Amino acid sequence: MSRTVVDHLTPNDGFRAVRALRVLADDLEAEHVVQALGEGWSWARIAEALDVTRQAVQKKHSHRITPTP
Amino acid sequence: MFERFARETREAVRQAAELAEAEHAAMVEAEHLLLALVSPARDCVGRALVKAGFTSERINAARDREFQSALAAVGVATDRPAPPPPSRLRRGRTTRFAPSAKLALERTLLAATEEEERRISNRHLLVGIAGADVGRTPALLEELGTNGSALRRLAETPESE
Repeated sequence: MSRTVVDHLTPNDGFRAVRALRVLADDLEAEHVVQALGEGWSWARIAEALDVTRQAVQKKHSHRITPTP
Repeated sequence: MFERFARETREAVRQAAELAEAEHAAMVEAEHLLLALVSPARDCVGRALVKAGFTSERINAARDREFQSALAAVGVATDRPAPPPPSRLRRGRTTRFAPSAKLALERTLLAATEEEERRISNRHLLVGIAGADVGRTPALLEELGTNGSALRRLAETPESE
């Protein structure tokens, strides 16, 4: 992500890209967490791989496994 | 505020929230308001939009293309459809409105006020949605082969379209 990228984008296209990247990252994370859990990964292992705390990753994704009614 | 809204416009706002919820989106966005006008098309504005080719299928396809082109601009090639907005803030029901939708509704009120019209209708809602000059909406409209001023014209004379 260099200077040149910023230079050739309008601010609005830059912000659209930032927003789309956030949404994409979130979607990818959710997909891989679900897959890892399915393969028997623990929350602690997922957290280590993502380099975030177990509490954070569990809080963010536990509803995908045990949906609260 | 909603007491000034025509019945079909209250319905459209409610439908936008339902569409967002069906997508598991954390927020109701401006796109959902546009979709709500055409799925289902309850009045002349919705029918004029559908007749002009803005069906929910085409709008959703344009949302995917907007997402993909936003990423392509920074060198990320993907054929993924646009995912729903992040749901990590999800608490309880999905009736929170994203700034894009709130601003569209503010412009909706403004459009009615400028016409000195007390009753807020779907014509004003379309003007409010179309009035965005930054964010995803202008790019989405471009993907649909239109723009804000063309949609505002359509909103002014929906019957003649």
